[in-house]
Amino acid sequence: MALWGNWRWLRNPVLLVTIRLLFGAFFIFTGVLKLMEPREEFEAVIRAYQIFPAAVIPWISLILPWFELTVGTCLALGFLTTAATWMGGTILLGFTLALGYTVVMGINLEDCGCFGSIGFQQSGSTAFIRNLFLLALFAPILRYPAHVWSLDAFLEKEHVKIDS
Amino acid sequence: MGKRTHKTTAPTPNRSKRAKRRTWIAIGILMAIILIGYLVSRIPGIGSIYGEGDPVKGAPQAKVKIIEYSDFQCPACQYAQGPLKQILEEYGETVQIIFNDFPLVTAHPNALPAAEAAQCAHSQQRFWEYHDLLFEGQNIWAQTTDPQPHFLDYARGTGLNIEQFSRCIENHETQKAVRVDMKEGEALRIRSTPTFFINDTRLVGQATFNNFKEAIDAQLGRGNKEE
Repeated sequence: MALWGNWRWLRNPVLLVTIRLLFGAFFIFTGVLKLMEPREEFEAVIRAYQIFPAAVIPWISLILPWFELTVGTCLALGFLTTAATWMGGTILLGFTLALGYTVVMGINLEDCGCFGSIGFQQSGSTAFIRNLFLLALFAPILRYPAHVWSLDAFLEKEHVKIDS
Repeated sequence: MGKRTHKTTAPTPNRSKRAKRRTWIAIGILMAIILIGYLVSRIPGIGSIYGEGDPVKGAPQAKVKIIEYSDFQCPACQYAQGPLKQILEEYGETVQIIFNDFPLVTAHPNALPAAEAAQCAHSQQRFWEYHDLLFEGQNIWAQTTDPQPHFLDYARGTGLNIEQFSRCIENHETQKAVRVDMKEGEALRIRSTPTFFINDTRLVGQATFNNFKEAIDAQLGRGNKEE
């Protein structure tokens, strides 16, 4: 039996667009919050994960917030939707694996750093469970990228007009 | 035998138009993202915010100022005191430490009273001795629901005027000064303690001797170049 079986309801355009918009807003929110904080704060959080070599940490703290903001914007607008969806899934999976690592290794993470540090701190284990839930929620649009009600769909219509 | 020719398909005008349109939209979105990112990420430098009257240790005209935002109930801040002492011994007249209160009041319920008590000691010119006692005894007073008896003990141990100190604590005479420091810290977007500014370089949580040394040497190196 195929993985999705008869779960046709997962292909519901309203559901897919809602998920796409929610995650678009989610990544914009997390990206902006990280950008609002001094980069050194985010570096300190990344260091606490004890995964990455010291030389790489400044690059992660520099690039990741912008990456999240870009992916979130593309998801929200529905621009380059398939690529943005896969990038979003990669970010979520990466965070989940990192959080899982801290749980398995018993690293006491006081703040996962997921929302910058703006008074919304979550411990590593709480964030790990939350991320598993988010991955499950994200999965439908990985399988069926939500092109309806998107900029991509609008441009496609315009291109059809141009061609005809 | 005839020459083999490769058929090349030149992009149709419409396909070029599509690609151009997508490119311009992508550029527009990217520019909007950069603008939003730039606007939200502007953070004031330490130079613009520095309160007079903060406790200071070290040479008055030191080339390197280490501005500390600290919470007396924070274990990492307690840990940082050892490296800071070593730094003062190593660099002598070259560095100055300036203390600012940043009690994390939601996580550490005794941090604000401790900060007030230390500032009460500061009003009697005994801040640093009191500061050391607070950090040394952190494991004890941090766990209690009423740390005041411990604060009074430290006041006696530091030779403070107990009547004046008790009045200062009861009336919260120094709470305003502590909150001014906290507001400064919030303006600088400090989120965790200890946070240090080695002149204008921010150091978050990496309170080891080597990290301080690296940051100070970089400042001294920069200062030498400017001279």
